[in-house]
Amino acid sequence: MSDQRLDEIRQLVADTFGLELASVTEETGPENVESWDSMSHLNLMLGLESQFGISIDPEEIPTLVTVRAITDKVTAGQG
Amino acid sequence: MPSPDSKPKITIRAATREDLPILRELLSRRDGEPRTTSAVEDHLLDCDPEQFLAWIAFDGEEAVGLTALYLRTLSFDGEQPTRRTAGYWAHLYVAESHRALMVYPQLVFAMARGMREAGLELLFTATRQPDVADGHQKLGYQLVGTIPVRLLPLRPFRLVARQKKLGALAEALAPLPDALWSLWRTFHRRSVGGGRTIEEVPLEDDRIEALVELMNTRGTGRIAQAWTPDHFRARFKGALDGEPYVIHLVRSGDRVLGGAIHRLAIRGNGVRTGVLLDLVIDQAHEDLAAPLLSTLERRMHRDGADVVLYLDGVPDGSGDRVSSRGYRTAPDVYHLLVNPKAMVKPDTPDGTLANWLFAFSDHDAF
Repeated sequence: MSDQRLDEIRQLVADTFGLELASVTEETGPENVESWDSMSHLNLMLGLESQFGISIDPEEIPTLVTVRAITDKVTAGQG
Repeated sequence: MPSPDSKPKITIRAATREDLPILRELLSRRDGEPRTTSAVEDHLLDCDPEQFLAWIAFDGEEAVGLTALYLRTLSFDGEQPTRRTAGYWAHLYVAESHRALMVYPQLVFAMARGMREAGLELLFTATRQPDVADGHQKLGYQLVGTIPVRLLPLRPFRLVARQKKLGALAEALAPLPDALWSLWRTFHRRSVGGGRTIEEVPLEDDRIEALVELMNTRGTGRIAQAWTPDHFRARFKGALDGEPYVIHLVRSGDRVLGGAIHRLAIRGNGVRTGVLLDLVIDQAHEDLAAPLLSTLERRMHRDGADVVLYLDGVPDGSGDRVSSRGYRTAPDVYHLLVNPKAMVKPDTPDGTLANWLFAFSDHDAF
């Protein structure tokens, strides 16, 4: 995972949930972000598909709940 | 939000006709009322993928959620008239036991993918719940506007007794003042003259085609559903609660000059509601509106309705037609929402509610 890609994902997460970029780490997820509800999560998934050109299966959605899990998915999806 | 490890594995799949029993069960649970197989088949258009798409969420073998699209064609009849394939979003439901388990985003995500696969250009929906409208906007829907509902009390005293839950005694006392109200309303009765007639017709009647033509003519210059006789007959074949749709035509000889569709529905606290789904009048025969409405009101009263509801989203003067009959503004409004936002930017003709035509006939709830 390149730093640039990770930063792009952190920025998308920050934008989606209204967070300061600096507060978004690989551990960031619904456990520590109050605004990470199902609606925002859906927006994040749609944003990931759109921004990184990856395909997400609906069944994967509940597993992509930390920045780390998301970066792994984006890395795998982009080959 | 539970951790991913503790969650049950939810799977989503597109519904087929074989899933109608599952859809019936889900809708019965959603509505708290048992729905019959035939009513569900009719209302969900037999799950015909040319007209209706649905996705079901499963926790193992158990169906726990649903979302659906009615496939429609919208005519965008502005400077450059065009037709767009659209999905009308309906029947979003997640079982209470699974509301915190990410079922909702999975369903909507699957639907968004299905929308792309089906080649739909836009999704639209209407809701009277402000929190749902807010949620849709967070999902990227544009609020085109809020559409007022008009109401006409037919039995005002029983209506209030039921709405306010005043009890059996209040309901028992209501018939006398309601009868006096009815008597007073007789002064509002209007008859159709000049050799023209108003009659109830079955869905199979050939003259439905002329009514559909009038509906499409009404949409000229607006953003409106492009109706076909087949679509009309499918839409009004049956409601989820089994109540029939009633179609009236106004005609002069063989020529259809207008028409209306209504049905009865039981709403909260047992209020019997006459829902006026659509009212269309040939613009050259505006004088027919009052007699047609008068006929419908008498019919609904005869069928036990406490009140008539009409969604005032048809900018062809229908709002004035019902107002002149004594309809007043109801507390509810419907929020009309469209996705993607770019298609209906605010301050553009397509993003202006006054250019849209949206009646209860375009909505799924009735």
